[in-house]
Amino acid sequence: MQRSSACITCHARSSLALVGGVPTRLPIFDTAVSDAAAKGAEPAAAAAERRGYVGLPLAQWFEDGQNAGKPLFKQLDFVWSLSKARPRRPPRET
Amino acid sequence: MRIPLLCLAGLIASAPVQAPAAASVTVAAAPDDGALAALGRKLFFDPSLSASGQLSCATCHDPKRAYGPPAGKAIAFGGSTMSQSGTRAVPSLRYLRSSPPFALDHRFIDGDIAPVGGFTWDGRAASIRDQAEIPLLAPNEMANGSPAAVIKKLAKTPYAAQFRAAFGPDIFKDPNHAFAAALEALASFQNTPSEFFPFTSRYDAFLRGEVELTEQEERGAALFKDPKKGNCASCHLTSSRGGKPPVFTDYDFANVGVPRNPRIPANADPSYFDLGLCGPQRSDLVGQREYCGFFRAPTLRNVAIRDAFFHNGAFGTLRELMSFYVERDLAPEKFYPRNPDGTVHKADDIPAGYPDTLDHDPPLDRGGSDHPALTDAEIDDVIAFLQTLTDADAVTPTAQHSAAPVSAAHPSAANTPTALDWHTPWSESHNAHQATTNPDEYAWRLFVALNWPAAAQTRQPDPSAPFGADKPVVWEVWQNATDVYLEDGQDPGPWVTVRGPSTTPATQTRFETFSLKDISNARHIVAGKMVPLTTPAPTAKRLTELRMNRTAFEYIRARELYNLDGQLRMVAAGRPVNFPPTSTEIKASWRPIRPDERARYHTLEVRSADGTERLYGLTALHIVAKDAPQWFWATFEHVDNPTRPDADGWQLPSSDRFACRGESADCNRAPTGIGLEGTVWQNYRLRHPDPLRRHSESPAVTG
Repeated sequence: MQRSSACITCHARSSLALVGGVPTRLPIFDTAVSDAAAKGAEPAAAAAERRGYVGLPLAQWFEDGQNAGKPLFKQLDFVWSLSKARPRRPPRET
Repeated sequence: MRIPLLCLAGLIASAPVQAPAAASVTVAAAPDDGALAALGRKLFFDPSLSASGQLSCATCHDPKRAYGPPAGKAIAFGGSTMSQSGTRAVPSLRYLRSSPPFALDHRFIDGDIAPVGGFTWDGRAASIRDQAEIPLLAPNEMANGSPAAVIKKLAKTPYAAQFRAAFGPDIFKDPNHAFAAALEALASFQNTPSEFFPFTSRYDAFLRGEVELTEQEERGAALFKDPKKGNCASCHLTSSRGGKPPVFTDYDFANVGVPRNPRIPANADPSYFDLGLCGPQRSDLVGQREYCGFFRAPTLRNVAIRDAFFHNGAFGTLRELMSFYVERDLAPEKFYPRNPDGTVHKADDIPAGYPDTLDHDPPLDRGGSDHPALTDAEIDDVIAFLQTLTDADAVTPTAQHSAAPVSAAHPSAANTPTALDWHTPWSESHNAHQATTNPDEYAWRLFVALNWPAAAQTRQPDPSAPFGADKPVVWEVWQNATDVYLEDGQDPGPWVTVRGPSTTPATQTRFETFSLKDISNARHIVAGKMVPLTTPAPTAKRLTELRMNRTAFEYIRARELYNLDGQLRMVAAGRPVNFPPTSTEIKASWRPIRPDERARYHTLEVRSADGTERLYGLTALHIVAKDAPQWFWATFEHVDNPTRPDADGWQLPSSDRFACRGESADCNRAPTGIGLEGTVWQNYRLRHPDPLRRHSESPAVTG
């Protein structure tokens, strides 16, 4: 992945969408690919390139898989810390 | 938004009270206005007139930003060594000429009586000429100390002969006389219409009937004027006077209770207060507490290109400013710190016991309503209107982004690397052009600024500490993401103004319990279903922390992006997430190191849950800085990373054209000559893992 991606590759994927009512973000690493690489099934870089999370961001990444061309995920200005936000709950009683 | 002072009217003189004026010397043999303005221009742009040799008027009053401060530099550094901080946000020098003389009891057309006029935030200068004298002599600005010191420098400039030709061959023999001539020249330049009151904004074109406003801008204009909504026009006049377009201020003074700004080093002293009219910079009203906290309303022309608002730059974005106006009295906890008893310390930049002179005109006071005067969408409208007030020649991030990228509009200039200023390496240099044309040096400039030893209390760099000192650095006193994105999604509270010393040793709470990788995996959609969020056990091999600076934090907080609900609302409303310029986040990685490796690393003692302590070394630092309109990314790694026992090496060679000047870019060395030598920081390398560039040249794909 290092060989063909850049900071922008991952940062561009900071995003949010409601998928079936569930808050969802685009992944930046693919577990299956990582597992395959860990098992030596294929080189990590080749796996990442095959998976496609490399290079400049593409509009297709953010589209609804069921409706090609329809944007689904909204980018969050390249900021990944936003992905740490949790749902709001009532404040704890002290 | 003016406080009526009818109760004071009988106690104060009705005649205008002039602020102390600079010594006035009649200038004989004055040249014509054009020649005088031309001389004034030379003076204005000449850093040799400062004690440091590095600071000109234009350093702080950037002509590209409507003679306001450069991005991220509203609180400027000056003095003989460029290490003394200013105490106020640099104002724009445009549209000042029509300010009336200072008066304490001016009666406004709406019947209010309040101070008005003069120059500077506290009106203490009686004219542009007198205002020009202040920075030339101020110890934390150009630091000349005396008129004679200025003239001694002026006499050595290449344009000294021009000065003699204009004012007579003996002009330098009398320093006071020459100083007065210099001030007249500066004032003449600052009266140049095309430079200082061009009236070239889109709103001016609208007033001339040449263009139309968008629907949103029209809504914003209406809200701006509506006394029951924004009520902005009550002070920032929209009406024309004497046939001239409006200047968007009536030059009145008010105390709106601006929060204390801990980023101003002087505010580290809890007994220091900048009280505007009643001192300490202005001296004639000291002790008259009824005027404390009063500052002059600035013009709102070109306000949209500023990144520091109010006299002390307490707010970094227009949205934060607007939120303050409409929520100060409804949710003061958003803007002020809490007292030890948990109550909100409202108007915390006024000493206890002073009379309450807070402005309560709308939209500040809500008159019993529990709703802000403006909704979020209405604030957007007002900001859209304010953006029409930007002069045509002023650089705006938005315009650059949408219409005129640097590389497209000025190809020759865009490809010319700009030399970086290393004179104040502790101050962050946010400059999109430098980031684009000279990215490797720019990355190191950021690296040094963010790794500068910090003053923990002010959460600012400590210029008095040497680079490499064994203490927390700037990014380590920023807001930790674990304190922003709380488990319950509640408001993390305001940026804490005065902090106690950091915990030593650090505890596990400082670090992320799961990585971004873990999060994205956990939320990955598998066969149409979400994998539940899990919290993997923290690994002892590597600790990670995320931190953000105040600009980024306050943007997140103002929009409730600190919880998922707020983010979803923003997405649902179709409002883009767009962090303001100078927003910065870092991701740091730490690994356990041996005690004998301490001298090679920036280190941290970490106490585990079981009470054991272990030494960690910083192994990587990823910096993400918004240098409008783009993000700039840089990753630094410790030089030992590829050879550590558990390492898998670097997959790519390093690439650093700044460090490797004159040789191959993969020399894998740290740069010399920027202060790294002899410090742990010389062991870090700029990693450049991309065939692509490090900044976000590609715009957001989803808009």
